[in-house]
Amino acid sequence: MKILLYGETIEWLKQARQIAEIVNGELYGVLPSKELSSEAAKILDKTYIFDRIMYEPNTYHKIIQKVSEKIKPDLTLFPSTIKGRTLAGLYAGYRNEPVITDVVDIRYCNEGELEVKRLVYGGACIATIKSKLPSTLCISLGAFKPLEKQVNGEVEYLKEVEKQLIQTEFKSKEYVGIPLERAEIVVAAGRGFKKKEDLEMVRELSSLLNGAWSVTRPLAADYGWTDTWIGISGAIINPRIYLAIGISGQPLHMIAVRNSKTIIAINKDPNAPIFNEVDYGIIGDLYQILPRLIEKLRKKQ
Amino acid sequence: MRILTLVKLTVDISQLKYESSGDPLMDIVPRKMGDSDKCAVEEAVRLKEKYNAHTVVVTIGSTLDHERIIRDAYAMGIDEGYIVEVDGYENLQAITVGEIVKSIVEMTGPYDLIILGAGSLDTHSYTLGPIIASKIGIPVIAGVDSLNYIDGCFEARCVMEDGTYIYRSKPPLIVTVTTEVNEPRIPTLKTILKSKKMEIKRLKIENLKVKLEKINILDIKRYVIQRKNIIWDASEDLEKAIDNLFKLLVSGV
Ligand SMILES: Cc1cc2nc3c(=O)[nH]c(=O)nc-3n(C[C@H](O)[C@H](O)[C@H](O)COP(=O)(O)OP(=O)(O)OC[C@H]3O[C@@H](n4cnc5c(N)ncnc54)[C@H](O)[C@@H]3O)c2cc1C
Ligand SMILES: Nc1ncnc2c1ncn2[C@@H]1O[C@H](COP(=O)(O)O)[C@@H](O)[C@H]1O
Repeated sequence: MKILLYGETIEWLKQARQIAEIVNGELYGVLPSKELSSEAAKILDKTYIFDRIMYEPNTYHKIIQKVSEKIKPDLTLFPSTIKGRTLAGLYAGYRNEPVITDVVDIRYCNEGELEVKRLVYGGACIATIKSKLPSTLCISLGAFKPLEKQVNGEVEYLKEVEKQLIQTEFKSKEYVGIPLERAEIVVAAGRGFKKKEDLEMVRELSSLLNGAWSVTRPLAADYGWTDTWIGISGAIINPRIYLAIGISGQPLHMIAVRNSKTIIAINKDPNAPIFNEVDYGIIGDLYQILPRLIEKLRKKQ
Repeated sequence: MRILTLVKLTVDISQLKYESSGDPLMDIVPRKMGDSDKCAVEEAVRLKEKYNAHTVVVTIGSTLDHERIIRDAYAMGIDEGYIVEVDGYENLQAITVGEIVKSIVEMTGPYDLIILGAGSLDTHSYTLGPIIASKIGIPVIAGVDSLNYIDGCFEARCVMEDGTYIYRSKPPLIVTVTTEVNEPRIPTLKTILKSKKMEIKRLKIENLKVKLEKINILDIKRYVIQRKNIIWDASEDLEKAIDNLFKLLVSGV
């Protein structure tokens, strides 16, 4: 079986390698980044690289489409991020094949069929779906263990890139410290925080722990305290530790953090839904807990 | 300007209840117009008000709720509505929905703008707008949180994982919007009464030349991941709770 993937990070390529192992297939990849080519060649059987150009889905799709015409994959994988889902839609529409997003598990049944588990209803439920091949899947990042298997794959540079249909401007996110998606420890604040200035505690805590920080959507989208947030419509993370402070644990937030190894929460309401999904929970007032915790961590440094 | 909007009848996930076995109670959960679809309708109506556009709405399914969400869109200001009658509307493959939209566009179009929610409330796939784009061969801008029409060009802003993108494109264009794009209006009594009298056009799926493909769902269960679930109550012993947390964090777990 031939598998094609679109990817931007080595971590994701290794997760896709795990999937290739499950369905027993050869792994081809399209990557928009020259810097990744030597690393990618150790993971993919064949790597197609194009020079990073401004992300514009219609143009990127044309590039992926060309590669797919060459390979004729049975299964195509995208990360279940906003970009990945958009590209997967363009791709599946073009190939007229089923597309399933938020995939967390895959089982190879018999010739030409997969049993796939995906999250639905904002992550509150999991659906098992039987899907014929060829099909397109968007994989929930972190759902599959990265597989370290060294291959010696070929690399091919894709030269011509079609003219962009759409004019594009880009303002890159200003990362303070470590980008969320790559942080080992992520601290996040929810509506338990009364004012913007109080987020300073979260910032300091994350920096003492050598991690990154973010918020739930209402703090960003409704109050405008930050530009980005964690959740189904924001960043999807899979750190070693996720520390949620003053967050109730609604499905649309939790879907994006469930692949964290350890989940810790601080919340003053013992009935907050997040306590059903934690490894460690502290029932208490963040305004009593955080200053002392930060003090202790400062002393240790 | 002619604008097509799509609205999907979705499970109101905030009201989902479960049997003790973990099966969601799908028969009793209320359904409603998706949140981002409502924003798409609002955006279409704003363009209509500014540029005198003609606005059309489509939904797929044949329940009374489908009629209700078309009337909801009318009450917000949409001019013309279609229901595509099909059974088992909840299990249609996204590519089938894309085929249906394509055939509606062929029958009632062309359109300068096709605008829909980025992700539906129940599956949040983010794929339908892009699927339609490929099927009818016009570009898509997905996940838009601010849309303007300047000098014959749409300008859209999308906040993504790595930063903010601004895209500009001439019509025809497909745009999918997030719930940040606007605050949908609340219809007035007058527009609600008017919406009840407006005609809804009905199309039978058999007449659309679409091959129906359904998703083969084996089961749906409540999603639970086993966690350690160790809880400390700081109101009983604040120092101990903080100390436990401190140790946990410095150990790296
Ligand atoms: C289409 C759509 C998409 C969405 N996408 C996202 C998304 O991507 N990400 C996201 O996060 N949300 C998203 N949401 C919103 C989501 O449904 C919830 O509304 C949101 O996650 C709730 O945020 P919260 O936990 O910060 O706030 P709340 O639910 O209000 O919870 C605040 C919590 O703080 C606790 N608290 C209060 N004071 C204190 C204190 N002093 N000390 C300790 N605890 C305290 C309270 O007990 C409460 O549990 C989306 C919604 C929609 C409709
Ligand atoms: N069955 C459907 N009927 C009408 N509109 C739909 C349907 N499925 C998806 N859509 C539209 O596509 C958007 C994105 O859906 P999805 O790609 O499923 O997340 C929704 O918000 C709707 O506007």
